[in-house]
Amino acid sequence: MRKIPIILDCDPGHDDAIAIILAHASPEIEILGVTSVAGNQTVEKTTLNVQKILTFLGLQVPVAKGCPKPLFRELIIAPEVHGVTGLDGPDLPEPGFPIEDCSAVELIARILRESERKVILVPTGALTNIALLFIAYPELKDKIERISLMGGAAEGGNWTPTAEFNILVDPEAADIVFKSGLLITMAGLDVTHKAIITREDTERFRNIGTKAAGLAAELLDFFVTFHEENFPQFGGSPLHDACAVAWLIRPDLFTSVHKHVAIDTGGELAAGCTVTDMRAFLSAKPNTEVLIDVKRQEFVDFLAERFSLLD
Amino acid sequence: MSDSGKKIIIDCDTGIDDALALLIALQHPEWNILGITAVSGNVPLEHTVPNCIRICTLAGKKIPVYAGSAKPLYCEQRMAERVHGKDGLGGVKLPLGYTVEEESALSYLTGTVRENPGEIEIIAIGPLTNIALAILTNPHFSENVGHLTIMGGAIHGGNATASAEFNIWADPEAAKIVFNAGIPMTMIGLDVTNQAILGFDVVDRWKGSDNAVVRTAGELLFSFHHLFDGIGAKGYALHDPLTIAYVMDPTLVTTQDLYIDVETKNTLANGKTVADELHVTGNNPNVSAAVDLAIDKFLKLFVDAIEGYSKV
Repeated sequence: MRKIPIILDCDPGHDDAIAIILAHASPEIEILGVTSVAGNQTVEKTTLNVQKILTFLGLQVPVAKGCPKPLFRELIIAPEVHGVTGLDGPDLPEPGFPIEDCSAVELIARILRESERKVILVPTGALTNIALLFIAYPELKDKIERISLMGGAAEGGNWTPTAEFNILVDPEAADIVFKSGLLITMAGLDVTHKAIITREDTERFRNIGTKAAGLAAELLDFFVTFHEENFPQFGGSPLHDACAVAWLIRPDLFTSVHKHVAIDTGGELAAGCTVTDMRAFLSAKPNTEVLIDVKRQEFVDFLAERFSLLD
Repeated sequence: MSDSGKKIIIDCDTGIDDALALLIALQHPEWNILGITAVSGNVPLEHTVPNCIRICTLAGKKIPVYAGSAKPLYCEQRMAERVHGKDGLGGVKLPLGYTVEEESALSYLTGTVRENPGEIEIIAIGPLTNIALAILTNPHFSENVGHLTIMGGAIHGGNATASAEFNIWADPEAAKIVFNAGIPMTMIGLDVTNQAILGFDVVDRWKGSDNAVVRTAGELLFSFHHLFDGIGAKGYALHDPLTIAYVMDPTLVTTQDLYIDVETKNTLANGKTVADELHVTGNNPNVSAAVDLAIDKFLKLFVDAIEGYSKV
């Protein structure tokens, strides 16, 4: 089997961490590198979290530190959601390996240059690193198969009424990425708010008994509690970032539509909105596969199966 | 050239006045120019890269040249081909003596600054795209740059628009990032470069020189001549050469410490370097901005440097 080569660009973050576990547990996927970015927490903390997760999993791939700030705006972080460390809850080992000397943009560029096959970028944080990659090395777009990202929403938001957090953190970067000409799969709130993990699901994961399943359960303990206290209407926790990875392996679990998506960068109320042309008002060509639904029970079964593969 | 001298990287969009700036930099016997990073600006990157190599070749040097950003960070591309000609050297043909480095300007800039913390003087005489990319992608770049001198901006007025100088206007978002990065920085803007005028007589003399470098310097400047019809120009403005000359001899200009930010909104003042002369913002100065010029002393340095090529 030819594995799908991916680069994870993330800001762990509980759901980023589960996305990493899922990718690592999946024999269909080859992780070529992991890069950090500021978002859920500062880049110092998200980088440390990447190192800790990879150390825990025994996953040895190059890691580089990404951008500490959005392109043009001040950083917004989400300690309310992910705690002061960005990954509050589980006890993780201290990093067992160093990060690369170079920046995230340089590491992604190096991996793309050296790869014989086209690579899929999987950003699950703000799109700052990816936008800067396209500005500095536009020729490397040819080495990218597509982007499968968590961010945005055809309708609604989670940080403002109109904006999802990852896009809101760096709307101009998102603008550059959505205008890049590359195919994008957008795992936005439309689908991630349906990818709900309940307390019962968490117990099921814990009972699998593997190390990876145990870590996933501990991460979800924290994440489900946060959502029960703040967003009880979900009946559990949306598992945002894992959707961007799951779609690569099991697209059959998802329903999607092809639409044109543009980013509002100027608005006062709608800054960071992923304006999705659902009814084709614009004559713009679709640039995005927008995920709109997921078979929740099968998604949970799939996660359980994968968590059982890793020890 | 000694390793103990100041370690310099020149970032430029060559360009006629960039070419003359490079010529005087390359002529300086004690300067340690580690590399030249090219950026798009006056003309596209596909011309600015070879133009840097052409000028080094003309000067008999082989400074490594690195290709930088082909586009501004976020705004549409804005160039000055009317001023510098389609090829950036006003149609003056020069041989290419060597090839561009494989490493990118971004990787080279960040790597060199990382390996020489506090020791690198960057002289940026084009749009600030490459420098902004280095700042954005590398958290420790700003604190490790020794000093940055830019040609760009103005406390008063503009030359690309009524309120903006070309290098800033060509990438306002990049300029805003650079001005706010905390790098020790000197701005050589239009307030002094518009005074740095070289008379027509010198250029006429150089055009007839036996020496290839001196003659080419004359031809390059003379290619500006078509711009002067009916505007009463007294000679050629040496924006970029003055910036290099300032680093050679800081006593050429007087400076004032000011808080300067850059307008990036799409308004009439887009690309303007907004200088807080009256200290109304309450912000601390972030830039040492040139306000006056010792013109005779500068012209002597410049003319001696170019004519120095005929005395080797």
